[in-house]
Order: sequence, then structure tokens, then C-alpha cells
Amino acid sequence: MEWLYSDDPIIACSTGQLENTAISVIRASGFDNLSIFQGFFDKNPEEFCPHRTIFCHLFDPANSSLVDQVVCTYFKGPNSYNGENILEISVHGNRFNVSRILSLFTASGRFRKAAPGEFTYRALKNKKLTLSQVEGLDLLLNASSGFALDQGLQVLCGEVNEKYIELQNRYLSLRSNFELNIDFVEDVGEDVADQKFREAFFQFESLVAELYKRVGANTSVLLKPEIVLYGAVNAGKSSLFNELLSTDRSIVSDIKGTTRDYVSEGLSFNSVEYSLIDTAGIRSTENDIESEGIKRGRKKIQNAFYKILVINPFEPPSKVDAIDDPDVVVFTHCDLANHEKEIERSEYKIFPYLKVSLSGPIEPEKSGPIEPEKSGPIEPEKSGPIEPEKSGPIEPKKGGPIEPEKSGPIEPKKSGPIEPAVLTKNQAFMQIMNLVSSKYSALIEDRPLLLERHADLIRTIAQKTDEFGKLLKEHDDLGIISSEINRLGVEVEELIGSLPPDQVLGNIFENFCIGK
Amino acid sequence: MFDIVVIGGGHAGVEAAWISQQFGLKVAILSLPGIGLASTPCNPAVGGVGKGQVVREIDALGGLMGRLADLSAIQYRTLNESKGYAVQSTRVQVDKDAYSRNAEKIIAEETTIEVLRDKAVEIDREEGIFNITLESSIKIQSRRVIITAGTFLSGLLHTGEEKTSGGRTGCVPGPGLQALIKEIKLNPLRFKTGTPARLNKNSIDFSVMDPQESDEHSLNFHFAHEPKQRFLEQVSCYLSRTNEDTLGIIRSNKDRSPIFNGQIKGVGPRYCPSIEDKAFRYPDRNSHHVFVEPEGLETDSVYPNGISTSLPKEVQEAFIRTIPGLENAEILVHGYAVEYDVVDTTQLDRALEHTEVPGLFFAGQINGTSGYEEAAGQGLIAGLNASLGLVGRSKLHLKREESYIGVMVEDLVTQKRDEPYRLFTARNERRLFVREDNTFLRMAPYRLSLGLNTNLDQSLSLLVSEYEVVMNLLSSYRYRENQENREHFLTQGYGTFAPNITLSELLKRSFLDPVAVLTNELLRAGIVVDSRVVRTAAISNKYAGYIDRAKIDLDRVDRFENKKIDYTDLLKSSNISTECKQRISEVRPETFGQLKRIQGIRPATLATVAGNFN
Repeated sequence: MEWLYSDDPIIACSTGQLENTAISVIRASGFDNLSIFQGFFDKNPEEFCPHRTIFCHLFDPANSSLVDQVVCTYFKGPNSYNGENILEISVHGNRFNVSRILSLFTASGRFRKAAPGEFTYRALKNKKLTLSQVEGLDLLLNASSGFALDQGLQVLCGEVNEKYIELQNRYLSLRSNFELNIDFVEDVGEDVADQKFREAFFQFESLVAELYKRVGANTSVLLKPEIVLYGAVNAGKSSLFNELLSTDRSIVSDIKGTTRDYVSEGLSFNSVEYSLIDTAGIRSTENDIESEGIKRGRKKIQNAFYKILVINPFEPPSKVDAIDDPDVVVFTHCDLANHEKEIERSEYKIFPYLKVSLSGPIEPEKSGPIEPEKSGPIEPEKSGPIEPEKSGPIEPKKGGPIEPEKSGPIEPKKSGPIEPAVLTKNQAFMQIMNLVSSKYSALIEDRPLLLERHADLIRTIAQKTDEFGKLLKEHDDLGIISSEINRLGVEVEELIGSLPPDQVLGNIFENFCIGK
Repeated sequence: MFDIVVIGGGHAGVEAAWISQQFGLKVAILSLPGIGLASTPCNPAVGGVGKGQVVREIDALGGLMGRLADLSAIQYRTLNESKGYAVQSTRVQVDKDAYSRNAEKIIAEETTIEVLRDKAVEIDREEGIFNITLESSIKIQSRRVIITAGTFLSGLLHTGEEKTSGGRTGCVPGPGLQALIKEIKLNPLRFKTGTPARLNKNSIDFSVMDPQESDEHSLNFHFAHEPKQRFLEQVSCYLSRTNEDTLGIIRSNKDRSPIFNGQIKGVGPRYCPSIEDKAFRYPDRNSHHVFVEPEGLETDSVYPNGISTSLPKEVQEAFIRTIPGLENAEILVHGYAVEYDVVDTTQLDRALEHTEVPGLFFAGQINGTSGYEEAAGQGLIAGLNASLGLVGRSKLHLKREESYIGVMVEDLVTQKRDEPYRLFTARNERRLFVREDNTFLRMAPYRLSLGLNTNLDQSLSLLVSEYEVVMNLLSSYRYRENQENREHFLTQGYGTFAPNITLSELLKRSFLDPVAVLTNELLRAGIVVDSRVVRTAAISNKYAGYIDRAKIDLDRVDRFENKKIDYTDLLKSSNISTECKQRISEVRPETFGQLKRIQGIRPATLATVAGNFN
């Protein structure tokens, strides 16, 4: 972390170097003036006009040989991304070309290769961005869904950032109006001061409640949502896993999971990138159930965004099945006769479940063909407002078989539960992904805040605000109230930045006629 | 040759000289002819919210102000009385003549301080010795100099179009600060303050105003006085209000107001606005309080608090006479505003010693503060540290977590001020702990470290040890399950009896007044303790949980608060902006907390420094 303390000129490629592209942008930052580029271009860099593009040739200053044709843009600090002088050089995006050009600059001794995030760190340092905004930027750059992308932008410069600033303003107002009650009662009068304070608390409290609604569920799972398959060894997890990944459209990454505990693959559906995880490593043998690998696997299951319990109804229940409540149960081997009877005996039929045949083409059910060309999204059970108190994922609403939308006439109910169709592999994929997608949509409906640090702080602020509200009802000792307001302020400060006493007093002097 | 020469005989100067002579040093006060020591040229009151705490801190450290205030008090009040013990403060109205007379008397009788009624016109420094030339052409020498010149440096008075040089009405002007010492850097802003007209008591109709009587339960400042003893006859203050006529007259004379027509350039305190400020900044408000305060028992002069002004004399007369009860008021002295030079306090260290001119200290209004209490507190710090240096001991720095004086000194030396500075309790992050009632405890360690061999130590130590006994008792005393205790709880209204409840737990019940209950229980047990100790123990016990909890939270954020840093390293660092470096070199922070409070520093520099801790 040496770079935290240095402000040397730095350089790096800002557009990635994994593959060849038409153009790559190389960015140099932190130089005092453009003379540092003497010898690199066929034009005099000291004459580069700020915020204008300049087409020129790039040379190796050591031997004046031509290296590339480039376009330069000079951003003069402080009017630049990070407040420093920046030169952006658009070069041809061949990977070797980019590396060669970067080496030219670093070899000249005038620039050092930037550490990851160093440009932005300097933006933070120069107060171009707050810490929260940097976190928003990080979210924006690494988002795995449209929702996360939008939110990154909102934290960086949009709605969320404004909410945070508003929260700080309301805290400032709370503090200021409280101080009226101690230092300035003779100036504004006891009743006015008390009323102002209570109003300010109401305003603060309502904004906290609004933000709290957005951190209720365990929202960080939405950042890179994981779909986990678990169940006994022979339940058919791996073949379901492979099935879910079998179509070309779903494979987004060829990087294999590396631990022996589970296998992970990227899977994209409805513009959201999920990780599909097969917890093949978890076995329920008596000996190693508590081993470290198993513990990690259990944790993986418990923290997952979407849990699919895979059960072979013909096998006895396994310990693995009981690790956590599933979002959906997949009963495999439903091409076999008597599977209804076995499912009927399973204790997991209380969860929403699907019946799947993985072994081959299936026979249409007796009870009427449901051969939906596309089974279409199944009607997600209405999830209703998410209860913020729950830390885990939303509860399954009720168990039982999931009825896909039928294209044909509705079968009159006879007796007993509706028997759903046994799904083909392809149908199973659509069905499961629609369920996952519905859960995702339901969860983002309240625009949850994805950044864990922010969510944690808002939970703490909400809890302390709640305690503070209770305290106000029980105590009229302003010393105690003051102490608790400061405790609340500590958290607000961590989210947005500090409020020194002079700012609080300044706010009072601006808004009240103070002074005898 | 003097050890210490104090230039200015106001509250800061007297306090500085008083504490210095306790070290057996040879001290002189230079005071302008015609002004009594520790005079009160503005509001004749001592104490107030936040300020009462300062007076008690000064007292517990061996200062004079608490004693003078008690001896001269003619009305007592406990402010914020209904709002909990932590935010209560004492304020007294003083007889201004008695106050100054008492100061003169104590300085003359009880000390070896030499008071020179003369004016310093030049100071230079040679080989660590200050040569001071006085107006009478006498030259004196001193090893240390403390400048406490108030508003007298290049003071300029305004009453309407009239402008006169001087620090106060009817007094000769002092010289410009830079003429005294060339190396001193001034705050680029001149400050301004003002005072209202003084009225003749006999021309006022008090019957239409609301009286405010003296509170007999308020406690004296000086700990060696009987807490509720009164030394002078007690009188009332009166409350009246301005009205639309008053403000109409002021508003129609805007062009004649030195504040609004550009005649005054100095910056006044927003918390203590003139009536012109109120009239123009709050056009919707047409009524403001006017507290009519007697300036003494013998004088006819009263102070109408709330209408300080620099309007022309005839306008002052016209608007004052619109106020109920003041219809026939006779003005004894007209109100005025004063503009004056202040030093750049970021050039001072935490002992209030100038970093460029060793041996030279500054205290009081010249440092840009307002208020007698703030001045006295600084005078004490400057005097103490000048003396400690001379007797070869290390400087005394009060911490902001433990005292209002510490808050003030740190605020002054770490931040450039853009308006006169006053203490508010809002400036203190640990209000629940830094209270009036526990001042003797908070100051005890400092008091002891001073090593002054006076009676003070013994009697203060007695209070501290009594406190410790009572605190032990609170946690060890339990109410056993028996009929007598059950009945006792019932008859005293202590709430439900809980077997084996401790006295400490009982006192924390939110519906009980802890001080009353503890007094009652000690009486029942036949234990005799100083009433102030009872009070402090009961209050400390009640707040203990909250204080601990807040400390944990604040410490989490401020875990580096008291971490020592070397600011010279920061100046060498290449990643800190020139602007930041300049601020750092002016303030010279010694701890991370101080660095944090410098304006315009965070967050990057802080991240840099915090990163270096690990």
C-alpha cells in the first residue's frame, strides 16, 4: 500500500487488457505539467489545449521511432476526474501494443504504473468523491445486473447519494434544534425550542425508516446472486446442474470453481448474472459431517440467494437435506412409476416443489397433457412487502406443488392436491429460472441498497434511532439525550462524513435570531 | 527585572497575574490609568451555559474568578434547571463596582503583584529578555510577557457617524499590536463587538416589566464559600420586549447604522447580534427580549441586555423610548461598537505561548474570544504555563474531553476564527461528563500536578476522598428483604421493592431525583458528607452507564483521537496538498484528533495518517 502515501505521476490502461480491441485508453495522472511528455509526441505536448482532442504520433523517446498513432485529451486539474492533471491517450487496442506503450512510459522513469484503484483513490483524496461515492463507483464498475449497475450510479451521483446527503442534513437539523434547548433557550424560548427539536427528530426518523425499508432483507446476496443446489449424493444435483448449464445461452464463463467443496458456474438470465453452485462436496457420512469443508459448504448453502433442494424421492432422507429451508424442492426421477406416492411421504412436500425427469423424454401425465410450448413464467406467488426484521431470505409463502400456467383448459379439481406435470429438462430450466427471476424481481422492488457497509450502517442507525425515540419518551434529562444524539451521530458520520460543532452552531445562527 | 509582566488588567490579566504569583514569582500588571482591575465593561454578569463550568474550572485550579463573582453577586440563577443535571449552569449578576473593587483589594492585600498604571508603547526582545518601554518613558524588563489587552489594540469606537480611537468608551487607546511586537501575525479579520446604552434606574418604570428574582438555591462558584451563602443584598432583573415601533425606528435608519452602511469592517459575533442585526436579518420578527439588569447596588446605572447598538445617539434614544417601561428612560452612556485587532491564534501553542516568539503569551479577547469567563480561563492557562516554564516544569495542557477550558484552548489554536469565539456546551462532545457539579473531580489531577502548596489542595482532596467513599457505598449498600425496607420504599415513593437492590440501582430509577434520594438515604444511615459530594456522587452514578456507552462509540471512531502524531512528517509527505500543509504548519497538531478538527483537512490526509499508525 506504498501508493497511499505517494503522489508520483502514474499511468495505466483504463479500458482493460484482456483482449484485442479497436481502441484502448491509457491514462496518465498526477504530473505537474505537460513537459513530462516531451519526446513522446510529434507535437509539443506543452501546447496541448485542455479539454481538446489532439491527433498525433507517439514515439519512443529513446530512439525517436514511431510507436503508434494516437489521440490525446488533456484534462487540467482540478477540473478532472480525480482533481489532478490527466492526459488520456487513445491508442490502438492490441494487447501487445498497449503493453509496449505502457512500458515506454514506465521505462522513461517519469511515470509509475498505477496500482488498481489508484486513480480513484486520488479522487477521494482530492475530495472529488466521498467514500460512499467511491463505493458506488465500485458497484457500477462491477455490477452483475442492470439493477446493480443503476444503483452504482445512484450511489455515485444520483438518488441514493442525495438521500445520504439529505440524511446528513436532517441529522444536522436534529443536532442544531436540540442545541437550541440547551445553549439558546433564553433566545428562542422553551416551547419553540422543544417543538423544533421534536419536529426535527420526526423528519430524521422518517428518512431513516425510508432507508431502512431498503436494507431489510439480506440484500448483499443480490450483488452476485448465488443459486445453490444441495441434497444427497445421488439425488441428481450434478445432472440438474449440468442440465441448467447445458444450453449455450447460459454459459457465461469458463472459469471453474476451484475448491473441492463446490463447483460454480456463471449463468445469465433476464440480464442478471447468477452463480450456479453445485455443492457436490457435501456428504452426509457420519465421519466428516463436521469437517472444515463441510462447514464451508453449509455456509454456502445458508447464505445463498436461492436454494434448490434436490431430492430423489426413492432414496431415504439425508442429513444434507435438512441444512436449510429451500426456496424450491426438485424431486428427480419422476419419470419412474410410483413417484407420487414417494413424494407424498416426503417431509419436503411442504415447500414449493417441482417434479423433474432427468433421465430422458417423459411420458405425458395421465391427468392431462400440459405441453406448454414455452411454459412461460410461472406466476410468482405474491411475495408482499419484505419484512425488514428478517435477516434471511424471504420465507417461502407456502409449500406444495408449483402449478405451471396451463395453456389448456383448467382441469376440474377432483380430490387431493393438484398434481403438477412432470417437467422435461428444458422445462425444468425455464421453470427454475423463472422462479429465481421472480424472487430477484420481488427483492429489488423496494430498491434495496446493495452495499453491505451502507446497509449495515443504516441498520445500526435505524436501531439507534428507534432506541432514541424510546429514550425521548422516558427521559427529559437533556444531558442523557445529548449523549445519545452523539452516539447516533457517530453512525451517520460513518456513512456520510463528519459534522464539527462549528457547523452545528453555524446552522443555528443562520436559522434563529440568537443573542440577547 | 520582573519574572512576568502582564499587559492588561482585565479578567485575563488579573487571572494570569494571580496564578503566577502563587509560584512565588515577581509579577507586574500594566493597566491603563483610570480603569479598575477586572472591570466589566459589557453585561455585568458572570457564568452562564458553558461559562459557569469554566468559572468553576478556574476556581478548582486555584483561580480568582469564582471568588470575585460570589463576593460581588447580586442575583443568582441556575440555567436549564429543569433539563437535567448535566446541562445546568450557574450565572450571577454582579455589582460591577464591587467586582472591580474586590479584585483591586485582593490583588493589593494578598499578593506581591505590582500594579503599574501605565501603558506599554514598545516591546522588544533581546537574548530572551523582554524590554518594555512605558508611556511614562520608564523601561522595565521581564522574562515572560503575557498580553491581555482585550479590545485595546488599534481599537476603534463607533456611535453612528462618530468614530474615536480607543478600546472602550472614555478610555485612551492602546497602540497597534504590531507596533508592540513586529513578529506577531494578526488574524486577517478585525473583530467587532458592541454594547447597549446604559440607563438611569430612576427613569425606568419597572412595574410594567416581569421581575426575575435571585435563586436562593443556586450554589456559589468558589468551593471554599458556603454553597448558598450570599455576600451582598440580592436584587431582581426585569424582562421587557421590543415592539414594531422599536424596530421601525431602527429599520428606517439603516443608512446611519455603521454596521450596515459599511463604516464598520470588523466581524461581529452572530450569537450576540446588535439590535440592528436582529432588525435587518429577521425582518419577520418584531419583538425581542430586553433583560433590564442592575449594574450594582449603589450605582443608578442599569444594563438593557438585548439592544446593543452603534446607531447615532438620537436614534438610540428614540428606539429605547418605545420599549415598555423605558418610555422616559434617561441614557447615562450611549451604546457603541468597537473594532479591534486580534492575533492569529493558530500561531499559539496549547499553553497559549506564541510559537515564533518564545516567552510571549496571549490571553483573552485579543485572541478573538468574547466573554469574561473565556478571557479568565485563558489568562489562567497563560499565567500557569508562563510560570511553569520559569520554575522549570513542563507545560499544562487541559484535555477537551475533561474541561471546557480545554475545549476552548484547542478550538482557538487549531482553527482560524472567522467571528468572535464563545463557548457553547454544544462545542463539548462529552457534556454528560464535563459538568459543573463534578468540576472538583475533573480538575483534581491537574490541581495536584501544579504542586502549589496551599490550603486548596487539602480541602479539595478531602472532597475527592469523600466522593470515593460515597461511590463505594453506592455499589456495596444493599436493601435486604425485610419489612422495614419494604415499608421504607413505600413511604418514600421509591417504587417497587426489589430484594437486594443496591443504592446505586435505586438512584438510577428514572422517576427519582438521585440527589434527593441519596441525601435522604445518607441521612437515614447517619452518614455525614459534604452536600456537594452527595450531589456529584448521585449525578455521576446516574449518568455512568450513558457515559461509558457513549465513550465506547466515540472511541470506536476516535480510537486515534489521542494518538500522538509528528506534524513535521506530514509537512514532508508528498501526497498532502500544499494547502493542507499550510494549515498543518499553522496549527501544528500533536494528536490525530487535533489534526481531524483542522478545517479543510479530511478525509484523505486523515486516511494517510491513520494508515501510518499500523
